[in-house]
Amino acid sequence: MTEWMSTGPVRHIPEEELHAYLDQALSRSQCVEIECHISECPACEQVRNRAAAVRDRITAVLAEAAPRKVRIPPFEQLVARRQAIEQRRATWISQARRGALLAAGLAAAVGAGWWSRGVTGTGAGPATPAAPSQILSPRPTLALAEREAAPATETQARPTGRVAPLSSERSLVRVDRSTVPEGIVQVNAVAPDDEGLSFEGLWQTVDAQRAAAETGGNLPRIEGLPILEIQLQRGNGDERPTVVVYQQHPSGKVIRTIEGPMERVEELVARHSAKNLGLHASQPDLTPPDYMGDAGANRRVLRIVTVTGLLPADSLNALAKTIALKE
Amino acid sequence: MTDELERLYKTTYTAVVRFLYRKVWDADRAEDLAQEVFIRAMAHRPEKPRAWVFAVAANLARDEARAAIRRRKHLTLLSSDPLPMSTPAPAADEQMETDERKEHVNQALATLSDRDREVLLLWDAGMSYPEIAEQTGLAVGAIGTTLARARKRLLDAYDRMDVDRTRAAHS
Repeated sequence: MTEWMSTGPVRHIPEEELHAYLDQALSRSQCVEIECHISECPACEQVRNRAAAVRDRITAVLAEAAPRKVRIPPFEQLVARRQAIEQRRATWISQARRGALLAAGLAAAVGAGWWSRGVTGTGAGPATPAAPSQILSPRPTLALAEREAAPATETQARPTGRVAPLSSERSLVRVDRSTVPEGIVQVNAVAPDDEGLSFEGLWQTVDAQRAAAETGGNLPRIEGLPILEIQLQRGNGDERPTVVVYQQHPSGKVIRTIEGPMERVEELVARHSAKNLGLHASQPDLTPPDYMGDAGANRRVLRIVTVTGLLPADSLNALAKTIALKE
Repeated sequence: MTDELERLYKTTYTAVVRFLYRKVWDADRAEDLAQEVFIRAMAHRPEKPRAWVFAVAANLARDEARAAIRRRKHLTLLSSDPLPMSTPAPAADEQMETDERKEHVNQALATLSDRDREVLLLWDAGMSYPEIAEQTGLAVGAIGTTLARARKRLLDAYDRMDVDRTRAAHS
């Protein structure tokens, strides 16, 4: 700092140091040194005056581009908004937990049923291989859970030739239990979705190219997992679409990455959690919001992304962390 | 901590809005984003709340710009649509001039490098040299140099536009 004060040929204060001086970013001793030098150096005084003029003009120019008078909203308003967000998240988490508990209970009940059938020999238990095929789940809600619990390719079960039609016409799940080890239910899905998770409203199945275009190249998905299907639902006005990307987890289970307006996604997850026992959802993450309406009447629509599936919540959380599309 | 945050909110909110406004060029969005910043601060409880608030504001503004590109929308205050042909009322005339000046500042700021613009806007928001250095990753000693350069360049660009505007008005 004091190099310019050293002996030898006259040295002047660098202009950037004068800017720092004018911005009061220097220590008191540095300021004293500069003031002493300026009092004896007309050239530096001139540079100081010029820098001060530039600084003042910049302040004025930037003031021209200031927003209208800013009204500071009451702090309590922000606190209330924060609490509302936390409450929504807590509700979602409790719903997911309730779903998990129900799923665990159901799994235990199914397991007990299998075991008792095996012991008594009254059904297609593991001790006595079944008749060609069995309909495991006539109920659509159960069918989804089971479908997701196994590899999703239909061809895997076909070689046995034991795929039976379903008793329920609405169900898309077919089961061949004879080739499956004890305690494991192999289910073959015809499509990555079924009525167990039907989405209300107009949904379009699109290819990756179209989906990338609709989402501005930010298709929410887990990197490295094969995509089975992509569904879009158009938003209102300029709102970006709600997107559901179905992917196959290495375990064979289908996982869905859902990205869209917070309320819409929360509603979907809550409804699906209620319908499909055992369905878990990852902790939601904010994604860039949508801004709606013209200038002066803007409304911000918060958007979130979550991953759902029949995997433990911890696994889904870990998967969700790999999604790049986050705020 | 809440008291501290509330104090920071009351003293810094306007500066954050100004900072954001010069990035998104929309008063409503700037206020909206500023509120989002402080809501996040409540959840995160940062150790250095003031620096944190401006860092998050800068990130939100960057995301906002990305979103704008994605939606292929310009976030400039002024529409690129042609101005109305009817004779504007005096108040509208004044507003147009104000908007035009803002647009000039916007364009002049756009001529700066990202780093120069960031440093200048942080300084204008009232941040100290060490705070600016921490946020931008520059050395404290480099802030004066960067600011001196940014100020000169901004004024040069602004004055050039002013000359062009005067010439256009007289032609």
